[in-house]
Amino acid sequence: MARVEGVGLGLRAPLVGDLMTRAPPSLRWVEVSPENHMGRGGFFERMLADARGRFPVVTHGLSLGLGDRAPPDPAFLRALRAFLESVGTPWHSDHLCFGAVDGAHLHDLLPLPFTRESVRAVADRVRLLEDALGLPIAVENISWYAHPGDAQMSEADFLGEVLSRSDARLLLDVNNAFVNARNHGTDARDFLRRIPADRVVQIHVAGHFTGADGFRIDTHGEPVCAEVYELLELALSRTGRVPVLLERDGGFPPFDELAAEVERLDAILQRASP
Amino acid sequence: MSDLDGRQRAIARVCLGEAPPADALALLGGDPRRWQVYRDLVRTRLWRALLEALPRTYAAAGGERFGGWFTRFLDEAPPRTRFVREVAPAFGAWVRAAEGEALSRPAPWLPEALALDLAEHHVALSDARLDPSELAAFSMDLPAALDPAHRRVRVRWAVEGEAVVERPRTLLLHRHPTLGSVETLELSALGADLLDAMDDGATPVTAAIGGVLSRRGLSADGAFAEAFAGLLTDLMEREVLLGSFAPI
Ligand SMILES: [Fe+2]
Repeated sequence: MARVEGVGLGLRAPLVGDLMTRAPPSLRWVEVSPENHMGRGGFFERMLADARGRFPVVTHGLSLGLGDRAPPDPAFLRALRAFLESVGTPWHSDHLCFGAVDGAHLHDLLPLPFTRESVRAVADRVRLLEDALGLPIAVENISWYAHPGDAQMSEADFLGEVLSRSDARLLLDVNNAFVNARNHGTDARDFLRRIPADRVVQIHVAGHFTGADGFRIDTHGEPVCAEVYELLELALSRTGRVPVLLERDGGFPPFDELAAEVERLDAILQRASP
Repeated sequence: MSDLDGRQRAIARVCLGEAPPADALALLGGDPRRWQVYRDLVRTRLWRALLEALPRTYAAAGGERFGGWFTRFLDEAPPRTRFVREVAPAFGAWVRAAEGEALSRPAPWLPEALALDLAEHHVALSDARLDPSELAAFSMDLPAALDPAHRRVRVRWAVEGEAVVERPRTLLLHRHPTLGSVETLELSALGADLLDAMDDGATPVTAAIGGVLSRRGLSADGAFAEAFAGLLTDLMEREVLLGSFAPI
């Protein structure tokens, strides 16, 4: 298993050409979503093979549904485990959300209520998944736009409870922390100070969309904003130097702009204590 | 039903229903505009996946009819796959079942537009492949080994500029050996019959073409041999013809 450190970039079809031929030296690894590659031939198969020849790979799932109610599909878990082993990822991350209800997959990151029942459901599922996949699971804090029903705790406490009741690691998304704070009138710095920093194995940064009414949506389609860079510094001051991933899923700029973001993230990361 | 189940079902109904149900919104509470954000996110992602995979179908059906299918599909039979790429085939199957014979009215080319879109989608993504241990060098005395990811689609209609004209033919869709893009080869009627006969994985090529020629009352003269050799060479270069199945 290759050592993952420094700054990484999400492997996306529009980026792979530049990634393979003129990646900046500070780009050290790539993040891959298994759902985009499993059981798929052609371009995606070759893209993954090329990237693996050049970079260590960390996997980031889209569909494990850490808060889903139905038991995970055993056939999918077997195929996922084989995929994770084939790319040599040190851990597998997915989102603190649900995505499927009564067999219907909604293909989005849907918000869990911050309740004790949700904590138990997620913690139980994380343990089950770690057994089935044979790897540590890292849970990622999501951007959420509305809370379903009444909450019994804050988001930071919810995340803390999930981590304390399971063996999960934390994939800390500082852009999501910022988006949530702005949308819900809370303090992102306070959130970052309250999460268990010793459980963080990876950080995400990304850009987001701001609507005319000021409401923010986590699109990964814009440049990283100044406040998120600042939050990253704060997060790293608590976690120490952990791998940082730049997520870009749309609105792709000239590659030099992404390379400059990677360099900037690397400079911040190098200033953090090891 | 637990509290968590109830809240999750309410979100699903808000996102997938023909309209967000008032009782679900009441259960979720908060600003309904924020639940509309989720509805828009879910629907936009799926809509884009369908438009990307089914451009001919969309053009043939028109936005209103296609949009109506989309609304009913999400409401009645939402995707049961975790893979976004499998949503278009599920939608296509639902449209065929829901429309039945009516799918070919008023545009008789709509069913084949859908078939062609789905074939192209399959060819682009398929990971079907032959086990190299099954393969031998091409021989006329062995069954032909064709790439299982390719598709042949018989169509009656052709888009020519703004018009749709009747022009029956068979299209062979396959992946470009190095680029991975989907390429289309138009086959003659005889070429299509020959490939159908050769693609059963069991009949030696000589017997397969003999059967086709005798059904068509043709003989394997010099001109045929030359044309057939040309077809095989083309298919080998395109990596559709991979060799022969080795004798067991
Ligand atoms: Fe993220």
